[in-house]
Amino acid sequence: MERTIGLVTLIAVLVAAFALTGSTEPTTLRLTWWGNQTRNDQTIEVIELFEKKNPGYKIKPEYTSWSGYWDRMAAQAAGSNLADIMQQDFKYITQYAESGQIIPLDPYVNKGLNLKDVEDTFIEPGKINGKLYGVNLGANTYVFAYDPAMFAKANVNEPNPDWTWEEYLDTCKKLRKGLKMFADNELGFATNNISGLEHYVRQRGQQIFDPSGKKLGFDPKLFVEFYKMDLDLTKDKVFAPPEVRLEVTSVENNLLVTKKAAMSSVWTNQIVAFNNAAQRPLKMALFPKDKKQVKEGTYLKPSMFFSITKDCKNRNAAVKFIDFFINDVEVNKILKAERGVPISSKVRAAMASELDETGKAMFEIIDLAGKHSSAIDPPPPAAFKQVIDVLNDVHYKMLYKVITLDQGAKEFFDRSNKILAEAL
Amino acid sequence: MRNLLSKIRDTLNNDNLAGYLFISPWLIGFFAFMVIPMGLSLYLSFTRYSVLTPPVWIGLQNYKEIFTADPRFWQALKVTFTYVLGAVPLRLIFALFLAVLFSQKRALVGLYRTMYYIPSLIGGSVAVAVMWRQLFGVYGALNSALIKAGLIETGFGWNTHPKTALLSLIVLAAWQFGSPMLIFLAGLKQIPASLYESAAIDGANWWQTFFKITLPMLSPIIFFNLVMQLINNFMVFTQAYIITGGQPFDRTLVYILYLFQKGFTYSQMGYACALAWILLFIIGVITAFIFKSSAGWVYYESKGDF
Repeated sequence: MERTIGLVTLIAVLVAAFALTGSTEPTTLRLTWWGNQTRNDQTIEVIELFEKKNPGYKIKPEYTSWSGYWDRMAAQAAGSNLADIMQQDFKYITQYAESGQIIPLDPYVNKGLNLKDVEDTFIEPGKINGKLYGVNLGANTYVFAYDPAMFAKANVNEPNPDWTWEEYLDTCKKLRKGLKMFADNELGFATNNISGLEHYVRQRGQQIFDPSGKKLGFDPKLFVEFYKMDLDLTKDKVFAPPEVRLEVTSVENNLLVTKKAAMSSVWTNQIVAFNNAAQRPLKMALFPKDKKQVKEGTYLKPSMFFSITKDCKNRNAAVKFIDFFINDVEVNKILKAERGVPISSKVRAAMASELDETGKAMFEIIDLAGKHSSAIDPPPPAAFKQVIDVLNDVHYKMLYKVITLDQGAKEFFDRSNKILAEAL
Repeated sequence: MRNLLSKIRDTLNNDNLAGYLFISPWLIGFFAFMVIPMGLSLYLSFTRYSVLTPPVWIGLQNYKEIFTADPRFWQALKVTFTYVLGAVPLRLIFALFLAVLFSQKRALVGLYRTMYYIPSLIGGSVAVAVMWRQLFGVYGALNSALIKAGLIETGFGWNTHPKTALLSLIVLAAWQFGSPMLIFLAGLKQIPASLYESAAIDGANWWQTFFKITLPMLSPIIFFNLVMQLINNFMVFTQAYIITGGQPFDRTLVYILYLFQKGFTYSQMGYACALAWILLFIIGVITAFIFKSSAGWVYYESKGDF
């Protein structure tokens, strides 16, 4: 009898203890991202700040490098065990939205998630089928990085934001003549990359992929026009020959960095790495315009997103964190635009005074690009990586003169359309 | 109760159980990292599996597509066979040549053996691949030397030109002759000196000795090295991945590199698994063929006792 009473008392105490701790149990959220050491340290600092300012919330960080990230997310998605907030990428977000792994955020916009200080061009890329699935964490765009000292030496004018393809080609030829070295590795983002062709195609009001995602969406004539520029100037040694281009595999052996060329196409967030590797001041210029253009080719790309997953229980808490992440000035001073230029104009203004030279240049070029750009095309279909590899294949065949330009256009369209049609 | 205890004691005292316990680390590894993954991969080869969504059973469709509608598969096979046919004989000949040199009793021979083995120690590593890229690069050491010597005017892309890229990989493979060389060396030491002595008395020259004594006596070792090198070279990946990445236009797309692209870059894991099983089959058939043929050219002193 005594034992029973003892047991009952014990249970009562335990229940009470659980009930008590239960009432003060903090709201816990899991947050996943890919990144480097700098990003990991900064993000954890932001999490600590959030927890300090919002007692009762706890964020559990889970981070890996890019290479392992998507395998891990796939496994978590399969087990219905995704983190509450996940970092998303422009190329993957469609897949995750369409398979219902992440949820639309429209009900929270300006009701918990303040986007009042954010321009539409920054919000738009996070929308799939008209609904907002990801909050953009920073803006990025492609530009030319160039060495102003080399331009001066060759007595060539530095680019202005309104320069045309003709002026660009002319500049390249003059650089070759004046410096007796390559003007650039290649025609702007023509090699191992689809961004150059995309820029050209967009200027004519078309897009690389048909909205259905089942075929290419532009006139093969544009392919021929664009790659003719590259092949012609490669023949004249204005751009590097294929065997040299194939060896440019990193920032460190980019010809601009190794002083064998005066320009290189880059993404703005790479400029920090380029500056460090080149050990000399570089400037940035927008991609050229087209005399026949119906719209601007340049666009601002979201560097990455935060999305809320279907496995998230406390969605209001997740929204609260994302709102804090994009709108809080103190947070963004910690982040130092490492995820791209902040999307809130208020935050940008508050940060402006504290930037170093590179940071300033990055903010300025994004600002300039904002004025000379049009909205980004919808995210590419899942098979886009294969299409880029086909483009690369065809491009080198043309450069090594295994096939002609017209044969190249045909091969690129035939193979890409087959891949896109068969992809799920 | 007592009965049960004694039963447990009996079981624990059983020698077989102790044996299994002792090899359990290996057994666990064998099942967890070999048998189960292989079974899974066989199953996945009959599915469409994008990693993000669960696998969907599609029967033989992957295999059908590989054989009937995939020109890159045939390109990868062509590249891989060219590579193997170039790399394996070159490597074995080099290894044998050096082993014969180093089996002689001369001063510092131990030092030479060690030095020539070093490339193979670091052989499959990323560092060597990166070095190779530099050495044969357009702005690399080889071109600098050739330009200095006045043989060429501008750098040639040995690793990147469609005509030489695969050759560069084959030369790298030939250079990593260390492990077959060591095995040849061990084999050479096993050949009884009396055979050479009697040959010398009979007045045989070096070539006769080599072809009539060394080669036949070494044939089991050659056989072993041939099989091992064939298998290894069919599975070449690191060098191609780092030095050429399959470029230019798939001229160096070795089989495993293609498999890797399909599985990890394009998320077609089912397709990649099917590719893996086809390679296993090809290697199996070739190895079986060599085993069959060995009766005709491999000489065992103890006739088939093992």
